[in-house]
Amino acid sequence: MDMQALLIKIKNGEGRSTAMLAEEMNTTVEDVTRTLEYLERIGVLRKTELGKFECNGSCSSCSGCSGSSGKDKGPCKGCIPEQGFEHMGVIWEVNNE
Amino acid sequence: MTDGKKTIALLGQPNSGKSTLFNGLTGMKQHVGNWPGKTVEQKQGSFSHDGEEYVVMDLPGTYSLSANSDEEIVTRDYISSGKADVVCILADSSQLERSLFMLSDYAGIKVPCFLILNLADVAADQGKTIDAEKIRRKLGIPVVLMSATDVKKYDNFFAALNEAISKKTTLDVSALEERYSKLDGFEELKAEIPEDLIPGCSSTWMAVKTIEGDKVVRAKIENKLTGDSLVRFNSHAARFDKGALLTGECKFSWIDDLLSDSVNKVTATVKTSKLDKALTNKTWGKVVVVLIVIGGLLLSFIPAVPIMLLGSVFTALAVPVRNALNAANASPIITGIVCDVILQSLANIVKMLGFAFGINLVFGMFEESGLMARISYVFDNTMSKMGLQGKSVMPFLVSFGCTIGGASSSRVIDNWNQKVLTIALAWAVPCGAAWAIIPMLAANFFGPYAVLVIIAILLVMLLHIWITAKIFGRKLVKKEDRYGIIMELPPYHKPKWGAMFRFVLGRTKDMFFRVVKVIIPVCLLFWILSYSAGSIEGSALYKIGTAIEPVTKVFGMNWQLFMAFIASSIGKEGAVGVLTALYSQSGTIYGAVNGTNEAVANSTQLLLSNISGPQALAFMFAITFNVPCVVALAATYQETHSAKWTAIITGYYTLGALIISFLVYHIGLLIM
Repeated sequence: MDMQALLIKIKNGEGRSTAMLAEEMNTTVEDVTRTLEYLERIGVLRKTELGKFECNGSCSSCSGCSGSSGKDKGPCKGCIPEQGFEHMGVIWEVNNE
Repeated sequence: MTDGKKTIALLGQPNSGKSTLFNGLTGMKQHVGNWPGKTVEQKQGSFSHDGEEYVVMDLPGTYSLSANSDEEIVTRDYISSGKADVVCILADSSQLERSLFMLSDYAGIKVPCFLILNLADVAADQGKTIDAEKIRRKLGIPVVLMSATDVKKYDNFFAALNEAISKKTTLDVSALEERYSKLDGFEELKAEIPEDLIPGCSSTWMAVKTIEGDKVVRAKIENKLTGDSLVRFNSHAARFDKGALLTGECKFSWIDDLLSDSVNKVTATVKTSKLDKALTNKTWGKVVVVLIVIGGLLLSFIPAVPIMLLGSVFTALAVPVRNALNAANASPIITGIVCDVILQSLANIVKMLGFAFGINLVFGMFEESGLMARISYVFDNTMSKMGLQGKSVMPFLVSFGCTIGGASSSRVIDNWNQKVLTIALAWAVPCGAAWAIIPMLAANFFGPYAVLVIIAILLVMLLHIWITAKIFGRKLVKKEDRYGIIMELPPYHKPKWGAMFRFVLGRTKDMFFRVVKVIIPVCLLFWILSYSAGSIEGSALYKIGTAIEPVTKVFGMNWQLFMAFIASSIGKEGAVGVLTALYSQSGTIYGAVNGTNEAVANSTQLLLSNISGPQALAFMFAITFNVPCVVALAATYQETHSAKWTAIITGYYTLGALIISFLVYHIGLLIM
């Protein structure tokens, strides 16, 4: 896959799914995924697993929404499920740093 | 070689089955420590086979041999140290396109090696057939297809091990070198690097690492080169910008070529599913998604109704309790607090929770099934146009439950300006408390047309977000900062009902305690402020309220509604408490307002008889788009560390809520 072309596509501001990108670049989803992972490893892209989101248990100000406060009490159970949102997918975006 | 023992180094990416093979070979003969000077775990073991003694070094699982981490540095330093007689490279057969990357990165290292295509059973389950012999012919090293978990079938492994050691088999890199040589300037750069300048590494390998920006390799080369050679080396190296992209393409292309006629697999269709095509269609996607959301809102009323009926029990209880207290000659204050504050608040709370439960259940179903990811995706392009990152999806989603959580979850956004913009927009998303109050009020005032009110609120929310993005985005986010995202949509799932119900019930329980903590005290406070033993004109709240009413009426709110609007800034649940307090005091404000002292059975009738449709509509919009709550304000300050921006956002939302209220009231007057 032409990685420069892929980066240009990401930088143009339009969001895509991996399947769409595979269709656009006439390749497989596996090829897209491994390329994205590679670009993430070399620091060009940043990966965020939305499903693994936690508010880091630092919502000391969040006693109102969770009923539990303090840094050691984990994410707000009233805001998100205990395991986070499991089926929210994964996103890759250009690393600005 | 160590004391006559042959040393094998196991090299592979994480999850390639290295540790399984290590355990299978060494059994209990293992030693675990740390690599010298590093906090990286070192695992060493031993075994004997056919009278030969072997030492096995389980190298840290890494994706490549670049110097990006301690693990990678330890791994490649060990290999280039020459301590290993042979390197056993492992790859996951179920995903060779990815896991052979380590092999491609090893190409050019001269330590003898062989390749294990592990997890053969998983690949077979996927319908893949792998011709190890063909791969062997292309690579020039022994290649074994096996499952490390099956310790009784290690014969081929031992045969490959013996062959690699006895014949000192090294990887045939000619096909890969041919690809590198086509890179503009590669041959010139390679020509400046003497072979074995770093022991065990070819000039090709060192040139590739230089192109990739490997500072450790480059420093070693620069230390050993001198004079013109060093100048030429630096000059050629400087020609490569983003060299890792170029070498990455070469490596992946080499892997594909290696696998092209060696692996047969059931080709997964690349075509997007019909449902995904509809959902992600540029023109119709948003319409389909909006229809799904509206359908979800309608569905949420089904589980809400029985819970609402339960709330009516508290309302019904007020009459016999009042009669009983009167019969017992209880003080009017006690009777008022018990019947008008506590019981009426509990009735409202349970009704609110009914809607909260329904909405959480439906949206939980959307999330569990994978639909929510698609909804987020559909609106990503819109978000990108507003200057937001893809990660802003999460604060928005969490804000549907709680704005405080939404503000806190914005910490995953590292660009401060985008973070502030995300929080500013997340405030426009109605939180769980709003979703609890608004449907209840809408159902009370507009019956079956409540759905239209909710749809209108959702549309105004989108408009609010768009306008807010235009206003704040101009100052906060520059156009060049805006990038798109690639999203890996999860497959569709059948919801795990048990886990989902536990989450929804947990969230509803949290909300119950929260609203009880807010509603009853706020309700009591306003009840006390409005209580008057004699004439209503004696109460403090009446005096303030009637004084400001000429102004509040412009926004479609009489003074009682305006007091409730103010209370909603503390917590949206408080608005209902205030309304209950202000309208339920028989013989005080209610009597004054209505010119009668007739007691009315419940607050719903009270509200209906005192508030017109346009006023109710204006009030609902006003509290929905008002400041979410004081704690959200604190969370915003905590995340932005800016009192200025927290104040700007607060002022903007207060003013915005009043403008919306004004517009909705006057539109309401026209259509009702």
